[in-house]
Amino acid sequence: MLAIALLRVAQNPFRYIATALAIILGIAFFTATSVLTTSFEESLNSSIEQSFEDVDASVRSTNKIETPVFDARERIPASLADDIAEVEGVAGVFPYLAGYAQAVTAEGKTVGGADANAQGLAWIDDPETNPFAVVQGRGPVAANEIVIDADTFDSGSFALGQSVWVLPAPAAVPYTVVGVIVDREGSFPGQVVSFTLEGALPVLGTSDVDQIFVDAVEGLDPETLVARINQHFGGEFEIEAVTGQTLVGEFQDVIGSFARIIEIALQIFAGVALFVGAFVIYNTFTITVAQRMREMALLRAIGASRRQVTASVMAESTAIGLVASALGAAAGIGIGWILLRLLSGFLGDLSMSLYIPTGQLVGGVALGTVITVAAAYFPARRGARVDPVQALRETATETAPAGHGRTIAGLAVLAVGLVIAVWAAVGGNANLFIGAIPLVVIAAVVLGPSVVRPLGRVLAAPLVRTGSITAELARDNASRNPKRTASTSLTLMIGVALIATAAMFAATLSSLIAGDLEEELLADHVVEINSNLTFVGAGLDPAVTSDIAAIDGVDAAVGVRDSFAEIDGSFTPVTGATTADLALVVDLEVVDGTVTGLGADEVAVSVDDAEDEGLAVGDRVTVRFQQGTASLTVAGIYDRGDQLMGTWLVDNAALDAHLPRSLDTRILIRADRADAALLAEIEGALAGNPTASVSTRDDYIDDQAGQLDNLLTLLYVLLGMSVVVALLGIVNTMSLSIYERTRELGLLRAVGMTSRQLRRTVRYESAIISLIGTMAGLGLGIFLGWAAFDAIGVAYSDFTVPWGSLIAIGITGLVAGLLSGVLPARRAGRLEVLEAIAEP
Amino acid sequence: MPETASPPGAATDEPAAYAVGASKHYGSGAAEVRALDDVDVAFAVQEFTAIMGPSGSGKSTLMHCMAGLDTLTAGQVFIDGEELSTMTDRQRTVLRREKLGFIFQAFNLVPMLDARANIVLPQRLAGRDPDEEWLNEVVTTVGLAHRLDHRPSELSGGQQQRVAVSRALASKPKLVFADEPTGNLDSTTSNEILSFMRKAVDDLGQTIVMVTHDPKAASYADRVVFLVDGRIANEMRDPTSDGVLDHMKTLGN
Repeated sequence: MLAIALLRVAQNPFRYIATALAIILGIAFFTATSVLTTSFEESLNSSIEQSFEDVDASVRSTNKIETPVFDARERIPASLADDIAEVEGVAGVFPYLAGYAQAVTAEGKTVGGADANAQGLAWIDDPETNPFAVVQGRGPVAANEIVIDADTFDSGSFALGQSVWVLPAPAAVPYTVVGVIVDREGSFPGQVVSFTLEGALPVLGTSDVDQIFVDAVEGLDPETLVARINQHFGGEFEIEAVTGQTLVGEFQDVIGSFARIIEIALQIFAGVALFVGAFVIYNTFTITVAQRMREMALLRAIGASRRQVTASVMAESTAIGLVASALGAAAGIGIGWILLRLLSGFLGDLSMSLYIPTGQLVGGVALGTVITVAAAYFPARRGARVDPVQALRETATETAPAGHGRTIAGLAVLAVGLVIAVWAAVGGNANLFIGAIPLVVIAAVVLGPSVVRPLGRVLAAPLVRTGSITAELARDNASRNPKRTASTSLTLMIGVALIATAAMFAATLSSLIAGDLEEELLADHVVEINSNLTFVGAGLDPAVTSDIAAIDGVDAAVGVRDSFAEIDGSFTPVTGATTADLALVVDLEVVDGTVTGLGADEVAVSVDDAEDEGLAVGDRVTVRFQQGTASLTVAGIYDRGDQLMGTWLVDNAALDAHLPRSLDTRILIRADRADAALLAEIEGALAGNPTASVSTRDDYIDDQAGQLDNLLTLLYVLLGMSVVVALLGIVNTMSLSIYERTRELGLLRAVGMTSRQLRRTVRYESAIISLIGTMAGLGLGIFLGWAAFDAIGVAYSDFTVPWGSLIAIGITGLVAGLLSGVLPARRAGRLEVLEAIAEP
Repeated sequence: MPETASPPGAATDEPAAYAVGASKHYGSGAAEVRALDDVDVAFAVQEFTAIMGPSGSGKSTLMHCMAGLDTLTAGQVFIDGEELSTMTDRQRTVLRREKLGFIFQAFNLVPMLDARANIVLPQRLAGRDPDEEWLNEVVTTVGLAHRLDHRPSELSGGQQQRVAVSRALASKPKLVFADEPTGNLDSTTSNEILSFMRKAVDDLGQTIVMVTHDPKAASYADRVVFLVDGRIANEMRDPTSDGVLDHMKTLGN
């Protein structure tokens, strides 16, 4: 029996190509994800380990804010270095300081596009401890000297001896380029500028340092050194020493958790693609088993047991699953490598090498095989139930109409689901709504075969009405086996539904953001920093804001700073602003107290957060800033302004006291005139900072509302994988259906259907199946989007249905369906009429 | 073909179809099989011809080549004066639906279409509207008028063949080819179908060529052509089933 199963695969490989591709794609996606994240993690881990290989210990503050990604620690005075140097066994002390810095080229531009990553480091004057090495010129010695990394040096056409300025310091502070450096271990992606500790002050705004690296004398183990340093300080300051190993471990934990988040996020999409792939396999085996009923009946008639017949199909699926999964894993390594190169380039030529996670690789092959075998199991069992006498009968895979019982059951489930959904929506019960989702999905599966015929009729109607016989035949063919058409289009429905949900989500969020901004933003111009640079802490020197405020006709220029703090034990974004003029640029809808002219010891809170923390005007709240802790009095409570002012608002004066360098991330401008001259003057004030740009109120709102577009595109691509797998399923079903209808096609050709007409019929049928899936997916997607918004508490009236996108998805479904039909159509068109008629 | 009210095969001396030196060879050298070997044959208008012969005699090959379903190795086939061998696949397809009708032994109908849709299928494929008056006459003649909205699966074997006959006649073809049209039917139903075909020739002026190995079926024809080893061995006019049977015995079948 095993031999028969394997012969079947070997003799008719074409039949399995689409099935195998469904598995190959899913497993390739799955494997590529693991390869990418593992390589990312392992490469960074190893380069970080090597970068800090020679650091025996690090001294740092114990005061920290745990952000979702890393621990932000307070800086410590650089002067501690002298103190540490006195500890017995210390061979060297090297203060470490990093922050946003970016050298400006001779053309007044910065290097790098939207993906720029830039940082400034205090130069460590020890070749072993310093992760960088000088390759040209020399290291910085004087306070006005800098070195630049080789890539930036080249692409910015810098020259040794050139005088430059370094953002965010103003152009008035000149530095001289004295050297070119390279990152020895490849753990510092992007642009790097390095200066002496003294020279860092104008740029990084501090002479405090992040930590102090300590080098032990020969033969002293790091643990002993750390113990001695800790004993030396003895709780005198809020300071601790840790070994270099601990430091590396902490870094690696950050990288590890980041890699896991990406891996899990990507694998969810791989999982969807595999889920869809499982449906494709199930369909393939259902069809091929049906087509082979006579063969199976014959095997039963000559003495094969049911179990043997099932086993032969299972052996067949195991062979396909193993081979396809192995191919998929191999393809996944290749794709992972390509993605790694792209990611490396995107992160600023981060050196990354390929790591192949053996465990995940074996896991991927096992997963693909198990999915294939599991999906083939039910069709196999159905095949084994065949009556031996059927071998002797003429069996044709005839139309099996959907039973009425099934339709009624499906409608009942749908009705219950919808009633629950509406009830939940009206009552605002998110959990109940989520409970309705499985019911609606089950109803879609159960009702599928019943709705295929009417839905196909409606969808084909426009073409049929033109009197096209090919359209009519395509429509009838699409509904001749409703279960098959339903299960084929169901696979497409899944991917399309998720894409439609994503589109609805993005459209609604965008319109909510735009709507909020329309209400809260009173300023008529907004200055912004390149949004990618804000992630590395870029900003504008407050002097720029003052310059703009001084422009003739400007009533207010309010600098806004994004910061964070720890409040009530948890990480909390805090916004700073020049609150004296706040009422001129934003409408925060103050419900109690005031937000204007906040003092350095005052804070304003949004209604929601005040309620969560149980705060009222006059209450005091303890805020741990990035540098130092303060007890602030609640001066005002506001109900609007999330987009511009966040939920915790302090005056810039308060931030200045607790941040070494306050930088404005945006400036809200209100003027009594709006003309080209004003714009030109604002641009003039920004001349020294090429990373900033000014836009009008409307452009700013459009821009903010469009921020989700990139994310949406990424989601489309990731979900597109499952759509591709589903389309392969359509190709597969069409090919198998054509194989099954060979004689009928021969007859049609004999009585006068041209090859072209036949091909068109096949393409139309494929398009109808695709459209059924697309339409069902759009319907389900709108429902899911509705559910998702309800779950996160967005009011029904705020839903935005992106009709344009949904129509585009529908048209894409139609075109994709037509394209899926091309190959099967070509095969059908090549049929030899005589052979087709003679087919037994 | 001009659409006229007169029967399609109005009297003319030109045959509806004829073959000259028709040869069909498979393989080459010692393995060469001559399915048709230099056959000359003509089918006169408004005549019912039966082609008979033992298995492998080439009768089906002759029909397939005459009907443009297969191509000759050598020789020529003319349908209504047009030569087939130089035609492209598309031209032959158009010729089949414009000038020919087909009745096969089995699997004659498209299962998804009802009887009426099956009958008018060739005209629909040609993008033409069926001639309703003629259609009525045909379906009334074969006794199908009340079953037109039934699918093939809801019809008996005999009824299915009547639909096939109607389809073959519906477009007023120059020539109808029938390949063992009663091979799957019991004798009563066979007689019915053959009577209809006879009637189509006598009353409707149709021309029919039928491949069969059943002497009883051949007896409905005006003329029987006997094929042996790819050559025409003999022919018989106004056959009776006994006469045909006797002759078959002499052919060593």
